[in-house]
Amino acid sequence: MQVLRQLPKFYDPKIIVGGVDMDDAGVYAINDDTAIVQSVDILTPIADDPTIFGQIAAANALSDIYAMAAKPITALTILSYPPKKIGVDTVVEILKGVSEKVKEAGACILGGHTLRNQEIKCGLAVCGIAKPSEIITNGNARPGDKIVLTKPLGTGVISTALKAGCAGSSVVNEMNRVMCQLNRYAAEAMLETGVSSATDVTGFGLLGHAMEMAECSGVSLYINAEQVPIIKGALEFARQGLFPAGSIKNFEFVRDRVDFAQGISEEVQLLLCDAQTSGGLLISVSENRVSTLLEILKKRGIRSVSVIGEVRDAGARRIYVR
Amino acid sequence: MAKEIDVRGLSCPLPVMLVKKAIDAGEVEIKVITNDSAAVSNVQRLGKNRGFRVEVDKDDDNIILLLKR
Repeated sequence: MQVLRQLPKFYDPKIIVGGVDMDDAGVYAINDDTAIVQSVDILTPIADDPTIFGQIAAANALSDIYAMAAKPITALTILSYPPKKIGVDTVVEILKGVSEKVKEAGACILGGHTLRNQEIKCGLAVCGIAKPSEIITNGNARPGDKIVLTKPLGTGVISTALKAGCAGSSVVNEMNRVMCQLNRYAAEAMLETGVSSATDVTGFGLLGHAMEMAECSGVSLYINAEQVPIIKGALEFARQGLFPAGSIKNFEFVRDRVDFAQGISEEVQLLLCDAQTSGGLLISVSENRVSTLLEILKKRGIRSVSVIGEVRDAGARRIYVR
Repeated sequence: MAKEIDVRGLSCPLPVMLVKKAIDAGEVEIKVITNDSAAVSNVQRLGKNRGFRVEVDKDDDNIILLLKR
């Protein structure tokens, strides 16, 4: 935001969600019936297997489109790699992973751009479509709503444990399964149910993205820490001090605006701020529709879904963790 | 004498890995020099959960953690 404030602003009545709105993707109405929804996201390798890394990079980039309840239609792949260190085989494996997920999303890859760089990075620029009236922003959570999270937390701390050589294969496999899971099914469930507000949980962690939702909606969120799903093994790595620097920065950034109840351990406080890759959707839904949403999510095979809290009128703090 | 570990310039998880290695080797007093706030947070957490008292001291450029058991 510090940077964005210094840049010229774009005014066009067709911009429904723009760069200054702190939302997941930009939305532009082409006409009364159709809006395009655009976003770009790039990752450094988070999995050892190149195909799985490609799948995660795609699921992560597509997620911004799903967080607005839109349908991705096209994507461009962006890949940087050091040609002297990385062979063509690995590049093909990464791009295969990307293609598999984009196919699962029902979208098409139209092309992309490759560049030589010291570091491997892979991402996508994604374009989606939606009816302007059906766009779900992060700024419409209403007092009385329930808060639903569709994936467990812990990918930041587990991927750091993986780098440190401390994570066993079962916990890593579970983390990869979580990150590879498309938010498509959660987005479709949102549309079918009719929800108030949504965002996806990524680099700022659950509390960072919850904070944006609370601020943009002018409400406070009450989160029940015990109800927040966490990947098995993540808490133990948290105790061993294996948080990535980003998660600790997230915690330092939000801690003054969050009221943590006594008895919430520092490890759990930090896990709630753990920087996620390809995290789940954080959905605010009216109380009388929450059971419908959970039923549809269950039918679509989404595991680890949990009602983690509720929305109340704005209080002294934006977030209360109980 | 405290075992001294200089982790300046290293980013997570390397500082924690080096301190963990010293703890596993049976060191009971470890001095960690860092200039990274994330390393301070992570090393403190590791130390406390492994039964150490952790003192934090700062000078102009560095943060010094003293882990004692």
